[in-house]
Amino acid sequence: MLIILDIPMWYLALHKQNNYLWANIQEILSAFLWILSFLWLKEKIPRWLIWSSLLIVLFTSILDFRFMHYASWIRVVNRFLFIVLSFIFFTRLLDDLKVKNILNYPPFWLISGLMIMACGTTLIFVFTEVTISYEDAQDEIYMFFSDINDILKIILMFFISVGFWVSKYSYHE
Amino acid sequence: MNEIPIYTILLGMGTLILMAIALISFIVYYQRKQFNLQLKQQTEIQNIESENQKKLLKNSLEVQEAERRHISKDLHDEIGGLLSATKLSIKTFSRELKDNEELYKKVQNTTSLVTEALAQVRSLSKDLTPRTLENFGLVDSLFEFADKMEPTSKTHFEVSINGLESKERINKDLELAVYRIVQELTNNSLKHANADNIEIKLNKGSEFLYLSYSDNGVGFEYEKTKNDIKSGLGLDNIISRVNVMNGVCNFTSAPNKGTQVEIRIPV
Repeated sequence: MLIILDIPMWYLALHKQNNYLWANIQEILSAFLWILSFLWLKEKIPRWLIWSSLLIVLFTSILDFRFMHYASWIRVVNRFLFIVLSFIFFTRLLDDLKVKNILNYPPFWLISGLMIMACGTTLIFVFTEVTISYEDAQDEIYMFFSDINDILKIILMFFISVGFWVSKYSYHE
Repeated sequence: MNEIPIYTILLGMGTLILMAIALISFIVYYQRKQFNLQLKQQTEIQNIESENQKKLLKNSLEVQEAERRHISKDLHDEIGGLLSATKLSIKTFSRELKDNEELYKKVQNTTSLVTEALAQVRSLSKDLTPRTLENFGLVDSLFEFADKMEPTSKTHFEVSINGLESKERINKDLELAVYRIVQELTNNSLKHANADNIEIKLNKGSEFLYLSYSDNGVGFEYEKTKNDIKSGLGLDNIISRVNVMNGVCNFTSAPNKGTQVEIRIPV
């Protein structure tokens, strides 16, 4: 779904038109998907927390949605929720001790990647005006933080790939 | 204005990323440590359970042996004694009947029946408690066992013993276990496998006693027989006795290919 949303973003970027609308929609949808994915984990994360997180994402999206600008507070709130949920996942993982080999457990890699990405990018969006606001930030600084943001996304994708790779092994051994 | 916050932001970002990596590393380390600890505890519990099970099994085998000894003694002393007295009484009675040939023959017949019954009772009593084993040890008792079984079963027995001399004694429990195992295996070979050749090899090393048993019978499917409640009991008895002595046993058999059993028990 996120790849499909990438197509209009690329199309608008190629025609040098503002594509922040799609970037914001993509951010909200990916937040929904990430938070919903916590429902399928073996480690039981409190349901009320997941549904509350979704509600928070929804409210923030309504309040801070922007058509022509980066919706930075949506991103900050999403990242904060990712960190909290990841932390709870790790706590449950240690409490349950159901997984014998954590390095062969796909959710561990997915959530680890999510946590590193969330921790690394939160401050970029807290200080949007000086980091990645195309109106306020200096060009070289804008590019620098955009690159950092992309690198952290690549790290997340790498962790997700590792998660898929280890899924062929049994985490019970 | 822009330069200071950027370094601060970068420092903050770096710190947060490092914290996340440290947290993830700690989780991997802690989870593995906790899991290994849990595994160790589980292994310990399993060891204790297995030890308890062995003790129970040992006790049950000891009770079984005590009961056998008791029955054997009763058979030998009580029933055997009564039969001997009966035989003696009939013999005395028969002397008085020498004039009546027909009656004398009948009494003679009764005497031979009582003699046979007495022999059976003695043999049964001996089977229940192998006195040769108790008095002379494993080597003599195994040879005696083979000598006794060969004519009655019409099966050729080949017994070879290395590292253990006649009348040489080892641990009494071990002697009894090996004797009972051989008894059980022979019983299976004769009763179920229709074997006409049985080989028993006993080899005593410095640390282990090796028993190698083979027959040329019809063989059996190990897994199938072991899981069969009715026919698997004999196998279970053998395995239990080996386990109680901390030994290992290995069965090799297939239909029409005979049976080979390798047993290793610490001395």
